[in-house]
Amino acid sequence: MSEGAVAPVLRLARVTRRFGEVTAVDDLSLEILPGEFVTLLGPSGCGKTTALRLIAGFEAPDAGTVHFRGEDITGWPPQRRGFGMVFQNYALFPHLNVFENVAFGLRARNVADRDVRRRVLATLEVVDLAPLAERPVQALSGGQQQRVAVARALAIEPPLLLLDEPLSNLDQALRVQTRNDLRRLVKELGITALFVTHDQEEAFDLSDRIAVMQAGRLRQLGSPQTLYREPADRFVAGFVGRANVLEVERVDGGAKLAPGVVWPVSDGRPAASRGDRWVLLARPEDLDLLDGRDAAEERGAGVPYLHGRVRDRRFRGEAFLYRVEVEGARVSSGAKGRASGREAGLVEVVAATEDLAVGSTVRIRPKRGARLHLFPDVA
Amino acid sequence: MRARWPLVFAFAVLLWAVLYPHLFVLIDSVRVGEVFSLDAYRAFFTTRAELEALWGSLWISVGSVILSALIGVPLAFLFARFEFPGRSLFGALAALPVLLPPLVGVISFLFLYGESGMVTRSVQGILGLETPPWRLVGGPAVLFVHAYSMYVYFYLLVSAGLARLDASAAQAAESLGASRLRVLLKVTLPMLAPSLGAASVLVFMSSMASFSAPYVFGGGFRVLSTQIVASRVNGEMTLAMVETVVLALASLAFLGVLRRFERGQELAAVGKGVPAPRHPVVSRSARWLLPVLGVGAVVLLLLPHLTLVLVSFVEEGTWTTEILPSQFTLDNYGALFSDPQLWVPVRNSLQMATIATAANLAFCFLLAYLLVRRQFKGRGALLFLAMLPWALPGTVIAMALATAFSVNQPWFGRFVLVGTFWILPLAYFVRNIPLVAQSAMASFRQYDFAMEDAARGLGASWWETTRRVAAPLVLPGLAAGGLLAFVTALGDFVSSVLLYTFRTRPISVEILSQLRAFDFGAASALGVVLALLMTLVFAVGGRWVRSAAPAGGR
Repeated sequence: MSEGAVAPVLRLARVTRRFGEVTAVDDLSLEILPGEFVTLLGPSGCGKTTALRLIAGFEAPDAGTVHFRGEDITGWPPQRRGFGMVFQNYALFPHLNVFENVAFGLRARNVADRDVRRRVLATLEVVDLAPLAERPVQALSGGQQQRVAVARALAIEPPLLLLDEPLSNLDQALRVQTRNDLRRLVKELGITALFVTHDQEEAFDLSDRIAVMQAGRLRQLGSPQTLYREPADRFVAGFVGRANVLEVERVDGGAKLAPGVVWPVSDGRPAASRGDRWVLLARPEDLDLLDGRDAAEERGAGVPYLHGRVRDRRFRGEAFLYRVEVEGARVSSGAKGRASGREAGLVEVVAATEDLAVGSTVRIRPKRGARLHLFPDVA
Repeated sequence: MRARWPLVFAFAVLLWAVLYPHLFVLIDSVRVGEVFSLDAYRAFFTTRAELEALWGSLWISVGSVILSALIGVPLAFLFARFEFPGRSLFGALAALPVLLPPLVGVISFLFLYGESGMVTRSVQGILGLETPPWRLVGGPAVLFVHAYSMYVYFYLLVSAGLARLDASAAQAAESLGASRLRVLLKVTLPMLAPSLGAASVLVFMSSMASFSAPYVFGGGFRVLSTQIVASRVNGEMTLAMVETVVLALASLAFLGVLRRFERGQELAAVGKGVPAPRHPVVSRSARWLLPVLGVGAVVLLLLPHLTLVLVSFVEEGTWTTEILPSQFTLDNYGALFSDPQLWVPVRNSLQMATIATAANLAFCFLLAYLLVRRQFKGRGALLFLAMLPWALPGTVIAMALATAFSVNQPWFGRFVLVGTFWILPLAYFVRNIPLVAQSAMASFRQYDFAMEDAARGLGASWWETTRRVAAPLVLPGLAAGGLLAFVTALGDFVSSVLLYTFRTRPISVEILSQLRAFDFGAASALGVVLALLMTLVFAVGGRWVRSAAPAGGR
C-alpha cells in the first residue's frame, strides 16, 4: 500500500488439494485486489469449487498458503474467516423464515436485537425482499430464494463474498436478470467478490478478471478482453468464446492450412515448443466470407483464400453464423476438454450478408488486422 | 364417474376394525351392568395405586424418550460424521436391535444385570461384596431397560436424517461465523426435528405400551399397561376399561404436544442437497477416544443380545451359582423341533403374521391409492382413521378388540373372535395399517402417473402397463412396508399377551411362559429363533426390495 501499489485482499500461494488420486487443485496462485470481482471459470471438475471451498475454509490445502489482508489464515476455520458465501443450492435454513435466515450471521456475532432488525431489513431492502421478511423460505420462488441467500451473505458485511455458481439453479430468463442485479449490487456496495461458474457468458458479464482453470491448474488469469484476444493456450482460446481450430503446419510467415494457403498469425506465440503438430485458432468474426465466383480477385495480392461450400447458416440477430465445409484444410472438432456442438470439418464464420445460400461455393480468409493464434496441438 | 365401492369398502373396513372396537371400550368404561355410571372413573382417580400407575407410565415414557435420545443421537452423530477403523461395521451393528422385539432384549437383561446376572456377580466378586451391588427392580430398572432397548429408534432415524441432511446449510452457518455448538443447536438439530420427533413418538408409544419390562423388573412398581392386565385377570372389567381409556388419552395428548412441536417442519432441503463430508478424526486424543467410545458403546449395547445366544446353549439347571455358565448343549434347539409345546408357537407366529401382512398389503394398497389419487369428501377422515392405530398403544387396541369381539351380534358387526385363531391376525392387521399405508402412500406419491399414459400411448395394454410400469415402480415401497409389518407381527407381544389362547400362542408369549417356568435355555432359544427369523426375512426380502428399487428409485 505504501508505494501506491494496492495490497491484495486475498492471496493464494501455491495451493494444492488432493482427494486420493485426484489432484483437485494443483499449485494454484492467485491474488484478489480490494473491490475486485474475480471469477474462477472452467468446465465441471476443473477444481474451481474446491478452490472456493479452500478459501472459505471448508477444505484445508495439502500444500500452500492462504493469506487474507497479509495474515496467514490457512488453518483458520470458516467461522473465523467470516467470508460470506452464497451456495449453489442456496443452503437456506428451512426451519427459519426469510428474516431469521438473513439475521443468522448477525445473531452469531451477538449483535444487539435492535441493530439486527435494522441491518436485516436494510439488507432485504437492497435485494428487494423486505415485504417478504416473515415468509418461510420454502414459500419463495427460486429467484427469491437466491436473493435471500445473497442477502444472508451480505448482512454480515463480509470483507470477501464467495459465490458458488449461484445462478445455475435459475431458469434462463431469470438468470440474466439476476446476473444484472448481482452486478449492480456488487458495484454499488464496492464488494470484493470471488465467483465460480462454468458459464463464460456469466463470467464475462460480471468479472473484472477471470481465472480460467482446467484439471486443477490455472491456465490464464486476466480481464475478459485479454482472455478473448490473447488466450494463453489452446484450451483457453477454445473455452472462452467460439473458435475454429484448424490443424496446420508451421511455416515462415504463418500457418499453412492447405497447399498454397498460408495465413499470417499474431506474434508473441510460443516458439519454444518443438512439436510438429500445430493448430490455428480463428474466431468466427475474425474471418471474411465471400462468394466463390470471382476468380480475378484470387490472383491479386493479399492473404490466400480457403475454398468451401456453405453447409448451413443460422440467424444470430446482428449477423448470420455460417458453417462452411472447407476443401484441403483439416478442422478439428474444437478445443479439447470442452464439449462442443460443432462438427468436425466445418469452419464457422460470422457474416452480415444474407446472400450466400446453403450449398453455394464460398471463400474464406482472415479479416485485415484479425488476430489468429498458433498453438502446439496439445491439450 | 369412478366406481364408489372401493371408497365405501375402505371406510367400512376402517370404521369396523379401527374405530368401532374403541367405542366399546368407552361404553364399557361408563357402564356397570346396564346402568350408566362414572363410578369406575371416580374409583380410578381416587385410588392411590391407579394414580401411581398413571404417573409411572408417564414419567417412565418421558424418561425413556430422553435417555434413549441421549444414547441414540450421539451414537448416530459419531458413526455418521467421523471416519475411523471399524466405523461401518459397528455402525451397522448398532442398528441390529431394531430387529429384536423388546421382550427378547428384556429377558437377556435378567441374565446380565439381574440379581444373579453375569455382570452383577462379576462386580460383586471383584468388589468382594456380601450382597449384589444393585437390585434391578422398580422404576429406574424399567427406565434402564427401556433406554437400553429403545435407543435404536433414535439411532436409526437420526442416522437416516443425517444422511439426508443438506450439509451446505451447516457450512453456510459456519461461513456466517457461527461456532460449532451454535451450528449444532441452531441449524443441524432443528433440521433433524422430524427425525427426532418421529423417534420420540416411537419410543413414547413403545414405553406407554411396554409390558414386559415393568412385568419382569417392576417389582411393586405400577404402570398402566400392567395394571390393565392385572385388572382384567382379577375380573374388574370396568376398571380395566377405564385404565385403557386413560392410557389412550394420555398417549393422544402427548402425541398432540409432539405434533405441535413438529408442525410446519416439513424440512425437505430447499434445493438439491450436498451430503456431509465425513471427517477423519484429527486431534490425537480424539483419534483414540472416539473409536473406543463408539465401539465400546456398541459392544455394551449388544451385550444383552450376545448373552441371549450364550444362554440358549446352556444346559438346563446347570447354571446356578457360577458367574458364567460352563456346560453347553444343543438340547434347547433340539427341543424346538421335537417338542410340539415349543414348535407350535413358532408355527403360529409365522402363520398369523403371514395372514395379517397379506391383508395389510391388499387393503393398504387400495387405501393408499384412494388417499393419493382420488379427491373426495372425507379424505381427511379416511386418513385419520388409517393413522389412528399409530397413535394408540398396542395395549389399548388389544383391549378394544377383546371387548368388541367377545360378543356375537352379527347385525351389529360383532362376532366372537376372542378365543379363536382370528383375533390375533386381526390385531396385527389393525396395528400395522398405518405403517403399510404410509409406505404405500409414499411410493404412490413418488410414482408419476403420466408414465402410465406414456406407456399406454406407446401401445401397451392395461395389463402390460400395470405389470411393466406400475408394479415395478410401486411395489418396492409397498414391499418394504409389508416386510416391516411382517416382522412387527412376528415379534408382537404387547397385544398378543392380552388376546392369545393356549392353542394360538405366539413365540413371544411362549418365551414369557418358559421364563416363568425358569427354563432360561428354552426361552433364550426361542428368542434366538425369533431374531433369526426376522433377520432372515430382512435378508431375503430386503435384497428383493433393493434389487427392485433402482427401477423406482428417483
